[in-house]
Amino acid sequence: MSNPNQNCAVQSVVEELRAELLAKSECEKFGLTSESFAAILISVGEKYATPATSESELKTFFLALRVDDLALARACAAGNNPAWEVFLTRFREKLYQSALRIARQDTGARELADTLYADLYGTTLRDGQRISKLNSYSGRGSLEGWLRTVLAQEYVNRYRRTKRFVSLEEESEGGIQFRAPEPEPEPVADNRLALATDEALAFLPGEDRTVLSAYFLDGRTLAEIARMLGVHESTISRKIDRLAKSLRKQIIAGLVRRGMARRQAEEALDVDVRDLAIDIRRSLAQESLPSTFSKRSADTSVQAGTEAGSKVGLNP
Amino acid sequence: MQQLPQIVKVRLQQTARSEHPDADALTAFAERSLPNLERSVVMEHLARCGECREVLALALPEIEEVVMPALVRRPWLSMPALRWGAIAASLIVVLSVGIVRYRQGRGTAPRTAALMQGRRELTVNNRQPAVHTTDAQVPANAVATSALRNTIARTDAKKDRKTNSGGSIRNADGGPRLARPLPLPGVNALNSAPGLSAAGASVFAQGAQPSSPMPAQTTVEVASASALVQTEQSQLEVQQSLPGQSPEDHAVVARAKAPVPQSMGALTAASIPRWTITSAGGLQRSYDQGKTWQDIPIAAASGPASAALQAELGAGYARHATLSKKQSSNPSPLIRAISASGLEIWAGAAGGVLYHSVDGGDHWTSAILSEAGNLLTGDIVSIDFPDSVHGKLVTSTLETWITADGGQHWSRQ
Repeated sequence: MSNPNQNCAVQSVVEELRAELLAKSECEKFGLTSESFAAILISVGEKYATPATSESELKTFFLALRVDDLALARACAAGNNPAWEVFLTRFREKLYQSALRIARQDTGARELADTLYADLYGTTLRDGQRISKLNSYSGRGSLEGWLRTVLAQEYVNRYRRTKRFVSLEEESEGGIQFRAPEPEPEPVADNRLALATDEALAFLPGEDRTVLSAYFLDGRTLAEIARMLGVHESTISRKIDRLAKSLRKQIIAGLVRRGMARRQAEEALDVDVRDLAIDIRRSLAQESLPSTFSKRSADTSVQAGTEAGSKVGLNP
Repeated sequence: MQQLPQIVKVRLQQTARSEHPDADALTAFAERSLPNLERSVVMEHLARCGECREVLALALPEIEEVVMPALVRRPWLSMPALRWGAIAASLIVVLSVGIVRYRQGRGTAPRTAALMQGRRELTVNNRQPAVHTTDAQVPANAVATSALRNTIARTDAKKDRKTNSGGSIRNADGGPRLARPLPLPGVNALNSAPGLSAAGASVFAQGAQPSSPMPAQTTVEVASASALVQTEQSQLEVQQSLPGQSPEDHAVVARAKAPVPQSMGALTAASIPRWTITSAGGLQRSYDQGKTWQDIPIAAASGPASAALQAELGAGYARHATLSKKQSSNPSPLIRAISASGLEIWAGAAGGVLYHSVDGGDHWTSAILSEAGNLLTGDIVSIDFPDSVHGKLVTSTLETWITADGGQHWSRQ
């Protein structure tokens, strides 16, 4: 965001709402002056605003900010002790409980929470200033929710790193790396099925695709998906049923359009289920294009059926 | 839930190429505070990024269990008194049922043997000429029902029951304790069969001596198949009267003495009702050997018997009148004891009211017993008619009243 016009727009909106936002934030309690907090608001607004953002949208954005949490977080990042006391009083126990729920074990939860505390406090220095993770909090959501999200991100990253380490170790112990690579599956001469499927999926709205992926790929429950998207559980259930039926119809129609007889299309859709020995959950762990090694391990794990997912090769 | 074809799952795995949304955006997405446009951008990313979906799912707030005090109900059994009371009541019920079953089991075995024997004897007796002298004077069913009596009452001690029952019968036979006569017109039909012998026909299905005002049994069943039932009590009496004979002979002699009229053969099981007292003090009758029971309401029919009783009572008149009012206001007396012999029924109720029916319970007469101005007190807990003319009842106050003329006059012992 380097457009001077946008910067001016943000500054003018902040000036307009300054009194109201300052009153809501109670930043003075944590040693933040009016000017410093206005500067924080402007930086947050400039990060959000685009050339297409209107003034009204900016106002809505600022009025929706959790300025009280923002003031607390930035005061903590600045090393304000009263702010830290308030922060610890409000969030220490909740943070640990969230870590325990994420890590599902006390030791891992403690370690996860401690790591986050270190990041929040800022153990590393840059130009003599502590770099606190709290500086990245912009107040768009609650500070408590942001802390949970940061915890979850830290856990996922750590989990991936651990998995990758264990995977290599286990594979070495098991001599898997010495095993002859599995023969690559023969490329399917008739790729009409994949094309028809991609075509059908391409028209799916993001929410529908998210629901399908979360349910069929991630194994999330209906309740979890409902909470993730903020809708009712029954809505998710109906949506999944409807989408599964409609996708099947669309794929068959796509196959028919590509010259396949209807019965043949239905059989292709069903035969494919039996022939494709692909472990979905393990494949999900692949964030980017699989390397040769990880591809081989994924295929190996597929052949092994229900072996532990730790044998899946993961890319950084 | 519908299943996705495998190819769809495979193609769904296409990973996101866009940059991951930061924690701020994901938090705002989860809290639905993102503008629609930005939300759809994040949603598109989530549709293709399993990692962000996982972060989003892990960052969900813990579900807070909403405690609704209004819905929290304390179970009524959580109160210690009620809980222990319920357990104690259950134990009492179980013990009561067990005692009843045990006594029925003990009483049934000898009766069953005697019953089988009695059936054989009855066949023999039916071939013999009737020894009854007054068969011609009474209806056939009346003779049949009064030929043998099956009396039931509540008891607590079987030994006492034997002794007292036998003793009372002998006393009744001797007649020295008979009170001044109290005419009961309602039961005059009993007198039409005076020749019925008392010796071998009396049957005590249950004992007659209460040791406590409230007997343990709650429901008593009476089988009034009179001619077919022979109890140890009757055998005991036979043994006393014929000490020189063997038990088998006693039984035979007892049955030989028993007036088994020719008309007995005409009595079928369907025509002989069985009686039972419910736990609520109601009276029930069965004509199908106990398969189905019919409630028999005893309306307080202060019939001629009551009128006659009132005339004789003198001092007891007022009390009887009062009780009659009570009975009429309460059409369902609390029956405590019953004696059934064919179609002739004696029933004793709480409050000392004695009910009598000669038509199998269709019509009833009631009476309050009195002797020289002394009314019967307490509840009638036992009635025993060894034969058609001799009867005895016991009250909860341990009074014993006997009759030697088929219930026309009663005297207190």
